[in-house]
Order: sequence, then structure tokens, then C-alpha cells
Amino acid sequence: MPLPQVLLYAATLFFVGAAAVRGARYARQPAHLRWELYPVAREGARARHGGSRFEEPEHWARPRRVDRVAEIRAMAAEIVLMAGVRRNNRALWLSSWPFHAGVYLVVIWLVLLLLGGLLQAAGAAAPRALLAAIDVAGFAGLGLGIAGAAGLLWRRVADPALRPYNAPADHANLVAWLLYLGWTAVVHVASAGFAPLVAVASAFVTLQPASVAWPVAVEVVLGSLLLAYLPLTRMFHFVAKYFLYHDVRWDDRPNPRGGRLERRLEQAMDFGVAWQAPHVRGAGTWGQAAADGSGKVER
Amino acid sequence: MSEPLRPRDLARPAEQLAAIPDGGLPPLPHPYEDWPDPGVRPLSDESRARLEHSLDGVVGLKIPRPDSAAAREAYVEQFLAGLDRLLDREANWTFLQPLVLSLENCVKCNTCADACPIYESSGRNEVYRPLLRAETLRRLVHRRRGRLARLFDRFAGNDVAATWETVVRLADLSYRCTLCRRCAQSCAMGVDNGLIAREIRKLFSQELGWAPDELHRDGTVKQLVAGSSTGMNPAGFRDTVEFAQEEIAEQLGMSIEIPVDRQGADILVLHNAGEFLSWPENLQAFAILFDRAGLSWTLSSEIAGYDSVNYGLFYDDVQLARVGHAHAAAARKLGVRKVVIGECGHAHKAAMAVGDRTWLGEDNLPRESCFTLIAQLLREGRIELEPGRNPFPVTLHDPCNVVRSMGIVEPQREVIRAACPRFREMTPHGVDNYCCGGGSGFAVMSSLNFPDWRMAVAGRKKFAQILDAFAPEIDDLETPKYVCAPCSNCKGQIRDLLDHYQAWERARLHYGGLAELVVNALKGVPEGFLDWDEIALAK
Repeated sequence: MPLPQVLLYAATLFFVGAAAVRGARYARQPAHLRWELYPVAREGARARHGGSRFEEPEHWARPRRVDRVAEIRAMAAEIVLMAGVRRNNRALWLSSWPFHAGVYLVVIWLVLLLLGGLLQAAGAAAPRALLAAIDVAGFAGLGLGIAGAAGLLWRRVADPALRPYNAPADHANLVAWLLYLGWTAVVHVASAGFAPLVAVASAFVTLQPASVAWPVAVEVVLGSLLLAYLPLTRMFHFVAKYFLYHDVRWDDRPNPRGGRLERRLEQAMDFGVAWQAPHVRGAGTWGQAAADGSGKVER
Repeated sequence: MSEPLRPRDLARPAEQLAAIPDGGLPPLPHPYEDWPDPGVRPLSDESRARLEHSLDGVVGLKIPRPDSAAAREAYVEQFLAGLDRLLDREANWTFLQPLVLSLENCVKCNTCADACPIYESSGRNEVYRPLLRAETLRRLVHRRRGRLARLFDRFAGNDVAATWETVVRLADLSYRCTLCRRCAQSCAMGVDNGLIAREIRKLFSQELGWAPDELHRDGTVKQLVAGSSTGMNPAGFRDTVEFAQEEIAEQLGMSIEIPVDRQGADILVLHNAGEFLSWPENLQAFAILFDRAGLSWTLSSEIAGYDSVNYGLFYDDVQLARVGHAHAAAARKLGVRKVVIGECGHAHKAAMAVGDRTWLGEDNLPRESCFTLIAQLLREGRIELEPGRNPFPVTLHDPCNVVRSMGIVEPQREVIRAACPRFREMTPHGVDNYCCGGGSGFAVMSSLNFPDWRMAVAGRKKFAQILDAFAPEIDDLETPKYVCAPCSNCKGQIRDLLDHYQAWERARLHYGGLAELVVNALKGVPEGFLDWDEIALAK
């Protein structure tokens, strides 16, 4: 099997594994204290003014209404349109949205390529509509991604407010995208389409060796390296963002007596207070520390 | 904009890293074009010699300067041990998940800076950029990772050295943020620099024992020992209640009983005891209001049961849990059905939101906001208002802890619209509000030159907002204007702001709570609860 193809399998496995590990690490943290931030989208109509269940008299006695449609709508606006960035930092959005939209389209393009590859592996030719969709998603994604990544890189280099906080990695992340997207665009503009990649996708899904021209092989190598590099960087924030919103910012779950959340919190109250300041040293467990109320005056 | 400052600069040996330059603050609106901004007073030579001030020349924490290199080194070691505990799932279960998520996922876009009133009001002083504080902690944390990760320190920009200068400046820097979380709201990722500032405070408090005296020694500790952070003991509290009853009788000719320790009452009302000393009219207003509405309610004289304050929310999880437990114990002892939190923003958040996961088991009594309750009384016709009795212009300050952190936005507006015909909003308001500048304990931190900084920088944005809200009448000195600040800490800060900027003399600006406005317009209560002649005399 050609080395680029082996690299692609390895990178894919690493990417999926890293996403799972990172997601699991965030998900397995102990229950934490409430720290939501309003508006909370799932509050539905109330979210328009940033309201919560606390606005209702005797809220604990009323059924909790969770507006999943509003929540999904807010998530869609955040994911597709990057509504938060658009609202709070329009100048950044002008680069960030094209970049992210480009990445989404590239992902769609890859999925369509896999679909075409599956069809080819099954002995059917990819329909013309699918090939057209691959072209549209591919070229649009590459174009938007390149424009966005270049814009973001320019901001990092030129904005004096960002400069003191930049690290070589921040530039390298964007350069890595530019390399992959730029090379891929050049290769497929030159070959007037993505037809050779359908064969690569077919070989990929059937675990058969693919024979490709060297520019496409370079493209596969660059894509594989980017795929393996992503989980090591902050660019992997799409995994974290789910938890930042659902487990923190929008986490307004009440804690009724005898509920599952209370059981998790009671377990946490049995953890030891390991801190060493005079007023907490030797306080025992969190539960004991809360109940002792001693509040020593030492400093 | 001042000189670029990098996180690694916090380790730089220097007498002082940054300063508020004279004349470097943004202008205030009319009628303050000619205001001679006094800025921040320099420390005395004695204070400079004795206390750490190398961040910005402002002292809030009062950290004594260690007298030897060995002592400084020992503090650095303690700090590093605390850093490890901050990331430990048992030692810091309370906020580990939000902290880790915020530490690992900032894309350093700096959107937070534009949302921060302190950064903006300081003339965009780099030392107050929210990212500086967060990124310093982030880089210190990353340098605690394994040897393999350390190979990439240079590439990843993990260049902050853990020195005495870094440690002490980071401690001070955590008290240059009011934890208003406006930055977090503007962050599309959901990263919370306010939380990071609080976690830094917590590390210093729980590991090194460094916390502002006003919050710890004279705050939570005093509350748990004496009963209140004001120092008021149960006997003093009972005297205060008697005095309030007498005042009501004298001022309005009404005989109102303020129930204390009434077993089996429906409601325990938890007020911030600061109200009793500084604004007793708030206690009186609630007593009149609840009496007229026919509620079954009581106050408690138990330790901490008559003071809703929980400064642990600002700096220390253990103290937060201890005070919360004391509040719950007072409520349980009286056998009330629910606890109603008075006009105190952080007490709302500590008892109802954060406290929803610390008041466990039998401590887990229903808790409700006074704003919700008053709005309900109004809606159900249990109280009636004559809004014409509040003919003056009124604006509403939104306490961050009540709006942005809890989503209680409309009930207080429902009440104020019904009580005040000339109500107008500030811009922005509700969950987008600006902090008063006294949040996270700043309102009670009053030593050395910290109040100067609090007035000139932290509260500047709010003061400008207040002036803008009253712009149409600002030059009319015949018309008093009322800033409704339904939170004790915010009220204290706004009192100090109005005094500092001589706002009564210049624009007839006054401040107060929400219950006072309601009672001033309450049918069946004699007119004159808000006595403008007396207010003017007191100025």
C-alpha cells in the first residue's frame, strides 16, 4: 500500500481517537457548581431578554420547560453563521466566518467524495449530480477556507493587540491550513475537478491500494498531516465548545432533592479538601468543611 | 493605548509594571467635561516599602513584601502547589470542568477586551486586558505539564516564568476584575475570563491564605463567628430591628411589627446586613411591603441568618460552602417553607444559583428572589401602587449576579415600570449591563488607594451610563433623579461614585433600592417614605 495512503489511515485513526479521548476527558469531570451565563437558549421565549426559570414565582414547584427547538436554533446560528463572533467582533468575523464555512464545506466535500468512492466500489458510477456537488463544495470550500485562513493570519500578524499573545503555534496552525487548502486548490484547478479523488476515496473505503499522480499524493500527505496535527492544537475547539455551552454556559439544570445530580454532588462532598491555607488545612472532606463553619482567623 | 505588555513581562523585575497616567482616562459625559480627574493617589513611602504594589501601584490585597529571597521562593513553591491543586479533580471539583475548558480553548481573539469596562475605562491600559491575566495563568499551567510537552514550550508560547514577581502580580491582577463576566458573554467560544480570575483568587486564598481582609478576615470569618460581616451580633441585630420599627412609627405613623425568629413562618427573608447599618430604609420598606401584602414572614437572629452576604462567592469555595451551610441551617431551624433573598446580587447567586449545588439534602430549601416575589404581589393585586407619588426620573442598575449570572431580568422591571412613570433604561441594560465597578467585593475594599482606582477606573463606565440615562434632565437642578440599585454592594459602590463625583451638587443624582420606590408609591401607606428634603439635607 502506498505510504500516503497508510499515512491517511493512521491520521484518521489518530484524529478519531483523539476526539474521543478529549471528549471523554471533558465529559468525565466531576459535577461542578452552577455557573451559567444568560441568555440561555433553551429558556425559549424568555431567552430574548435573557430570562430564566428564576423569574417565575415558586419556580421549584413548576415543571421545567426546556425549549429544544430554540436550543438547536441557537446552536445552528452559532455553528453555521458564527453568530457570537458576528455580534461581538465583526472585523474578526469577516475572516473567521469564511474560514469556518470553508472548513465545513471541505468536510462536506470529503463526505461526498467518500460517497462517490463507495458507489464506485460497489460498481456503480457516481451520478453527475454528485460529481457536480463535489465540485461546488470542493471549490467553494477551498476558496473560502484559503481566504479566511489568510485573513486570520493577516490579523495575527498585523493587529498590535493580538501580537503580544501570539505564539509560533498560532501562526503555524493557520499556515498548515493554507498549505493544505492552497496545494489542493492548485492541484484541482489545474486538473479541472476532483474526479481523481473519487478513485482515491474508493480505494480508501475498500482498503485497496490507490495509484495516484504525485500532486495528489502530496495532497493526501498534507491532508493527513493536518488531520493528525489538529487534535494537538487549540483548533480542536469544536469538541470543547459543546461542553463549554452545554455543561457550563447553558447548564441551568436544577438540583432537586434525591435526584441524580444530587447524588453526584454528595459524592463530591466526600472528596478531601487538600488545600493548605490556615483556614482550610485539615478540614477533612468538603462536606465536613462546609458543616464545621469554624472560619479560623489565622492568616 | 499603552505599551504592549506580554504575559512574560509579569516576571520582569521592576518597581512597578504599569500606572494610570494623569489625564489618560476616557472623558465623562456632560456635565463632567471640566471634571479634574484626581486619578489614583500614589502610595506613601511607608506603604511602598511595606506592601507589594509592583503591578500598577494600587494596593487591594495588602501583601507584605517578603524580607528574604528564601521567603519569596517559599511563596513561589506554595503557589505552584496550589496550581496543581487547582487542576486536581478532588481538590477543585467545584469548578474543574469550567476551568479546564476555559484554559484549553481560548483562541486569543481579544474580543473580551472590548467587552470589559475596566479595560475600556482605564484608557485601554494593557495591564487590564482580560487576556493578560488569563493567558498568564494558562502559560503557567502549561509549564506544569510533563517533560514531553515541555519540549514544545517555545513553539506553544509557554514563556511565563514562575517567579515571585509573577506570583504577586498575578494575585493583584485577580483583583482588577469585578467578575462581572461580560467578557465571557462576548466570547463565542464560551471561555470565561471572569471564572479564571476567580480561580486565581481561590488558589491564593485556599493555598496561601492571601485574600483581601475585607472579604476574608472581616468578611466570611467575621460572619461565621459574630453572625455578620458588619460585625453586628445577634443582640445588635435585634436592636436594629427595634430601631427600624420605631422609625416606621415615627416617620409614617404606622405600627409595623418586624418578626424575628417566628417559628413556622412561611418565608425567611435574608437581607444583606449592610443594609441595616447603611440603608435601614430598605429593611423598613420590606417590612411595610410584606405587612401590607399580608405575608407570613420572619427574619432570623441566628449566626449568619440575618446576613445574606456570602463573600466566599468572590474568592474561596470552602468559605462559600461554610456560609451557605450557615444560611441553610438558620432557615431549617425556623422551619420556613422558603427563603427569600433581599436586594443583594451576590447573595442571590450564592444562595440560589451556585448554592443550588451546595445546599444539599435537608439544606436544600426552596429559595426565591425578592424581585420575583414583589412582582407576583403586584400581579396578584396583593399590593397596589400610586405611581404618581414617584414623579421623578428613575433609572435601573442591573446587578451582574442577578441578571447575567441568573437570568432574573424582567420581574424588577415589571415592578419599576408600575411604580415609576418616568423610568428609563440605561444603555446597555439587562444581561448586557455594565458592572457598577464594585462587584466581586470591590465595594467593600476600602484600604489605601484601592478606592481611588475603584472610582476612577472600575466605576467609570457605570457613572457615564448613569449620566447618559438622565441626559435630558441632567442640568435641571430642581429635579432629583433616582438611580435604583437593587443590590447592597452595587448600592455602596454607586453611593461612593455619586459622592466622589459630587453628583448631587452637579446633577441632583441620588440612589436607593427598589423596595423604597415601591413603598413610596404604595396605596394605604402615608406619603413621604422617600423624603427628598431630608435627602437633600444629608448631602
